Amino acid sequence: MHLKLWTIAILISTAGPVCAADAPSAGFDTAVRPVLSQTCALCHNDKLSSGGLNVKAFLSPDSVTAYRDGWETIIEKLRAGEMPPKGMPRPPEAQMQALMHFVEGEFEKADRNLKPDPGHVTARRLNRSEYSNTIRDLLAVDFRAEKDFPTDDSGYGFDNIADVLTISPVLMERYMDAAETIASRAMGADPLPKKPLQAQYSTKDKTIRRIDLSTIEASHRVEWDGDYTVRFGMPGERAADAKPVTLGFWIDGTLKKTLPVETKPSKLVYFDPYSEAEVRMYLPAGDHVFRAGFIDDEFVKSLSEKDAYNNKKNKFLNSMVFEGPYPTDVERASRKKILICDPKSGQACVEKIVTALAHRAYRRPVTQVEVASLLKFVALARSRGETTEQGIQLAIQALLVTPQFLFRIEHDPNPTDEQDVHRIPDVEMASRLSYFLWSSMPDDELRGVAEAGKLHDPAVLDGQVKRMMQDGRAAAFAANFAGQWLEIRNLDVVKPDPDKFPEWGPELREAMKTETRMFFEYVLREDRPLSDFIDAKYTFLNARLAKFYGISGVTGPEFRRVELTTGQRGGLLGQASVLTVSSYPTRTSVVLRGKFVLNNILGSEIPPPPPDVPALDESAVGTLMSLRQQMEKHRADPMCSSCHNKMDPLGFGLENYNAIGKWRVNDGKFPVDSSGTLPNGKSFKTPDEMRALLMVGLPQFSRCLTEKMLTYALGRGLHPYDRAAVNGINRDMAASGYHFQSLIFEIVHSAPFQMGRGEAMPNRIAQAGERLQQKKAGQR
Amino acid sequence: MQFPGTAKPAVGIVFDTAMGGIDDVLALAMLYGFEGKSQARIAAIAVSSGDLSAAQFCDALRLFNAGASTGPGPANLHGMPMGLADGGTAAESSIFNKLGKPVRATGIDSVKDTADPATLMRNALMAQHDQNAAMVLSGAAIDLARLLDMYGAKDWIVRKVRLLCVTGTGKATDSASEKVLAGWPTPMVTVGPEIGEALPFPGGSMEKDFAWSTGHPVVDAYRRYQPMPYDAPSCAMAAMLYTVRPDEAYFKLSDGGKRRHLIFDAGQKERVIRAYIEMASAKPVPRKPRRPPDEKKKEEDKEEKKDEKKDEKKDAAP
Amino acid sequence: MITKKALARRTFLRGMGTAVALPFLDAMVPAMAATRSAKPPVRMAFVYVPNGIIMDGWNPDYEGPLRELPRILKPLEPYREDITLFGNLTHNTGRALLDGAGDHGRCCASYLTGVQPRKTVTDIKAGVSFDQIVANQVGKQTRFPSLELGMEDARQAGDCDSGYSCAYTNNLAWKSETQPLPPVLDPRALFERLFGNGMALTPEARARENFYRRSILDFVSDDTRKLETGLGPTDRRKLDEYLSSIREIERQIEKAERNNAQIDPHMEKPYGVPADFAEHFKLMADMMTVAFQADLTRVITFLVTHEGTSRPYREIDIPDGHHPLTHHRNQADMIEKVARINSYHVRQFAAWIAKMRTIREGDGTLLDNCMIVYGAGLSDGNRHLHEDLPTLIAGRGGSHFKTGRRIVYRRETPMCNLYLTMMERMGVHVEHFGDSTGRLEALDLT
Repeated sequence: MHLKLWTIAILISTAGPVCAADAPSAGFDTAVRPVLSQTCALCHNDKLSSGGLNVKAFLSPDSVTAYRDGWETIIEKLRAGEMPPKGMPRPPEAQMQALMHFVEGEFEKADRNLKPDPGHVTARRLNRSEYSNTIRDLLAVDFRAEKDFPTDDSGYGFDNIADVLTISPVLMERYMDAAETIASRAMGADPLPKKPLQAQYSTKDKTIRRIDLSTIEASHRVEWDGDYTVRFGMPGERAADAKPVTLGFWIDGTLKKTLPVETKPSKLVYFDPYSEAEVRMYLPAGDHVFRAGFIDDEFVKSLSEKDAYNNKKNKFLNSMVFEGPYPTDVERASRKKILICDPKSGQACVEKIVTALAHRAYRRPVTQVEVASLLKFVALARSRGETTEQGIQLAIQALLVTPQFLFRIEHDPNPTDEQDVHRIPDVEMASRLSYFLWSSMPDDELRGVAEAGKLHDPAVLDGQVKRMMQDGRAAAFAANFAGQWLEIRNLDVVKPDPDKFPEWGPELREAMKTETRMFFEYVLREDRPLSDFIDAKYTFLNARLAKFYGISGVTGPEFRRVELTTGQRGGLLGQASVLTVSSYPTRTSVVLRGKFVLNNILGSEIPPPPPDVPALDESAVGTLMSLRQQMEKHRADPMCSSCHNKMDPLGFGLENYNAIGKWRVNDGKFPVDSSGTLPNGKSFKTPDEMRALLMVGLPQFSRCLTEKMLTYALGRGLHPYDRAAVNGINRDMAASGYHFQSLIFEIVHSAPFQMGRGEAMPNRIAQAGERLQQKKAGQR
Repeated sequence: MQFPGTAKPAVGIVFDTAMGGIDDVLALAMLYGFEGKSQARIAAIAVSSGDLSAAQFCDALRLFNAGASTGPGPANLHGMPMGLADGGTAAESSIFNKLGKPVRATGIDSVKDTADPATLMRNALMAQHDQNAAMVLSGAAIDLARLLDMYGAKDWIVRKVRLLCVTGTGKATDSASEKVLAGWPTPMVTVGPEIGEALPFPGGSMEKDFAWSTGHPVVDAYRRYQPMPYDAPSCAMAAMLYTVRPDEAYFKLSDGGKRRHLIFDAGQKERVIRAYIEMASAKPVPRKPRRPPDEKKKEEDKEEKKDEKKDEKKDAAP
Repeated sequence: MITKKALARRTFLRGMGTAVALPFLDAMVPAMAATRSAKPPVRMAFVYVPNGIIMDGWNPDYEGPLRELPRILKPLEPYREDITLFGNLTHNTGRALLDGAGDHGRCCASYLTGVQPRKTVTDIKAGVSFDQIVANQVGKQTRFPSLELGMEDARQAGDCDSGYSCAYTNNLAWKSETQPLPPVLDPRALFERLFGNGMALTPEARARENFYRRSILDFVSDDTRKLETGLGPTDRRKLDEYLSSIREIERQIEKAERNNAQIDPHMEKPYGVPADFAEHFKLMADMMTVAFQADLTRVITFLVTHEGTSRPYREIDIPDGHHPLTHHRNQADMIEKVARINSYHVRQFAAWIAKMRTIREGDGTLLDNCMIVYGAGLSDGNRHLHEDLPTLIAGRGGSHFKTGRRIVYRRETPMCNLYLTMMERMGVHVEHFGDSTGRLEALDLT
């Protein structure tokens, strides 16, 4: 079920006078039937039933409710001015408007009479990122489920949809292994390798990123918590009078160590001068970005490009070597988190520890029985002559494979009664919130207010939501929601052709991701209006990306807000990330991009082309024939035109960006022509003008975003009974000027998010069917 | 896009024929006529007499009709294939056993190019809306008997098929027909030989109504079947006409339950024969272009060349 | 409810009375494999490639004994005596059948299940795939009832094929109508699954690990049963999935305990996913070889890349995406590129076959005792055709098939007839599967 273009519908039908609202059939006879039978029926009749539509079925007043989906599509096409098509007789505009007003009025009434139904959220298995984050917040252990678990299937474009999150034996095996590894790592019982290992990163094997003349960076995974020595290789030497510099060492962006480094020639004379600096320190396990650089290195400023890496003229960094792990006396964060008292002090403490762990792992208060069954493992280990700590480790291992931990299960008082609509308990609400905004478990504060039964107090609720949006963990919301909504995750999958796009590489890719992530987080944190997504006059850049965009005055590796002064960039559709994931490896595609805008911004679905009509042959574009010429030819075919008239203009509007989002004025031999005309007759000449036109569609965009975010928040697809909620949200959004945070609050306040219900047992017929299926399955 | 509540497409017809008389040929021609007027869609055609040349004729007729729209390009060789009962059953019962391979182009060179009738019919029925398929059986019931043997057959036959129309007396002649007459799960209508006799197809029509085409496969077969001029009995045509247009009152129906007989209605004779002629001799209707224009162009060129070849062949033929 | 179904099926199969070769314990040590005498078990594998094949480059213009092979199959030339090529096998359930567009999603989901998948992006439903029916029975003999492998990570966002959930294109094997089995992509993960996490445990250590794991499994399974009461139907279904996976692990542990010998894979533990396609394929192939040789499993499905994938093949200078290329509109240059991709895939496959042939087993080779199907769910990827699917079997299914031939069946012959025939070879005797109409004739030696 997809809800389309509804806001306008509502606004109009509430604003404008709804015709004959009380006498539906009369209104239908005057406003609807004539147009259908005189205009539409010319093509949509028994014989032709063009586009699979035969209006016969829509000639009665009750069809409006009976065939709601069909009617929605019809109205959408009329609204968009796609129907009646050019060249066919067109009734006077007033008559068309009257028809739409009437039908939409009927929808409105139907929805108002709809019995409110929040739907049921199926037990939801933690997906990979939720698992990793939950482990992080539960035990302070860095675990990468993305690497160890099979891919989570996705539905509706999101990978947190309960129904498709199945659990296979392979995954169960991984859960068992992971539980063992995590538990032992958490307790610090995992043995370090007998010999320390060495990992080398250097510019010559391209494992080092050069951030600027005197800064290098490497992404390195630390497998074990422990002490490590990190060595920095520095070839070259500076003038005899060169001053020493301060070498800085950053982990994930924070400066951890500084040490002085000589840069003038050493006394010894040899041909390739080289020196090393070394730090020894504790590194927490996990993936980290390590950076080394000379702080405020004035010298290089005076240096010419070509001398930058000339070892006679300059001393510079070119490698990092990690050696370790060595035993450490740093107490692990995980042990601090778990051992809230000294287990040796006796059973009471052990119980305290296990209770606390279970309480947080299950994300709800636990019963005596549950604690007891976990304590059995401590006893079991002891009985086999192992230590209490090993026992606790075993209990953790067990905890991590229980359904209570792996699934988010909501308990309905009457699980098999659909009619029993109820507000969900505060503890379950806490999890809905935390997995919505953090993709992780509730923290102590949230769990606290929930268990104190305060969370359903609107003030408290909003307070928590506000806090959570500002919290660092909200980064998961950008990564998981925006990452999938805008398909940014696919940046790791796409493989632009390096011959055509030599600039493409890990640095640019990461920069693109960062821009969109920071942009999204900014709009969220600063509660900007949704219109920023379409046409913001600012974005977030570092030197690399600014250079790529041809924007001057941005230096250094750090991203910062940059005001956009030209019309070249602006909003999401001007960001390289989006433009890259909506292109083919070798070229742009107006069709892909048009579809991207329709699906993800305007929320309108495009039926796929018939198999033997390829989306479009764009391969020859820029070499034989201009894209536009190709398109015209393509659209000569009525089969194609109906959809391509919608997609292509939007794609053309983005033709000034190549397949990795770089600005261009020529495509191959041909000048880019990025003008277009939307089905509603409005036309534009540049991306900037197109964005301006899209602003008119803000209500569609708001609705599209609402539907996607509600889907993500609930972990289920939307159903007809959700229409009321979506309409409500959008009315309030329109009223509040479409601010991003209000959307989040609206969703949190919405019935589907706050309420739950049971679900009916499959009725007898269904069960009979089941049995038949079983027999068949059996006989196969 | 699929609209809810949209009227179903035209009824899908499964035609299982022995090609045992010229009326089978004409009935097949009618079926294409109905398809052209989108009053029916051809779901599947199966030859129950295991005669390869009969299957080749059906295929030639298919290409003859398809040719009108896209040309017998490779696309057409990938439509639903012809069904052909394997050798076991009596090939003699097919008139093409005498007439031999048709002179027009066909995609069928060997039995491998045809499909097992039961499988073909099952696959074809799966693609029909519920209660929107009908079957015409003219000849041995062997294929339908095997269809009934398939796993779960009765379930999906009842779901998909609204009517089975059978030519003949309605008396079992062998184990297969016995099985079908006894076990067929949908309503059934039988069309006795007397109807075919009472409604002869006028042979003269070949000269007039089919004149629009040189070398119409049907005319070719009609001419070679018996010394002209002759009128043909129309049992299979009657079955086809009733199956596609059950509500046109061309015939009367015997009373009583699941199995009924067609009854000749003298008052309707003219109408029926007019319908025969109109449908059997109908010109192929070009389909709406689906491929971008330039490709279609190519195909048309191919088509023209093909036609030239065909004409040469025709001249060569006796 | 899934488990009920599974049980129903198992009991049924037990009822059928079957002839499964005895477990093949001495083969657990590869070195000894050559020296045993007992009749080796038959194994089967599927290697699936997406987006159809350029059929002119696949189908020979002749039937019967294989002579020169067409360009795409060239890499198999040296081994043509070991393969059988099939013509005209068809998957009717891959066709639209009123469900409209989405042939890529449909052909993959119906490929091994033989049913028409429900067109949905969420409440997925196909059928139990036939490899899993086999695994449910002969899998009892081995450590792993089946292995599911793949090479391409699933697209992380966006829709997969016009209204079909990504679950349909991300998976080949279906354990139940609603539960696909995701393939393992990372050679390292596969290695650890097959041979443990590399650091060899002492028998004592392993015994300890298994003991604790078992007690944990006991704990969670009755914990879950308690939990289930008081839940609605779909929630229960989820927990049933969970429970059946738990049982699967319990079974594995038993197997492992009954047979404590640690297998030496004779290979380095892989680091992760190699960037190079051929290298990745080779790693997976090597492990499949050992898995068969050591009788760790007898059923493998290998989803090379996904239907609709836009993966470019720079390894062979093809920077364009695979799927866009397959809609070639009969343009020679695009067709050429697709054919080269097709052949590149076959080359990797041929290398695996070559390896399987070198391993002696019984009085033949390991390959002789296998049925390794290489095929696709579409023939012509440009027009999404589901008939005459490109299909070949390498191996003799236990010195049983008369190989080195091309057999063309009549049009519309159901692919499921091949599956029925293979099940027979695996010792699983059923009357029909999916839309099968009978076994394939003319395949056997006799």
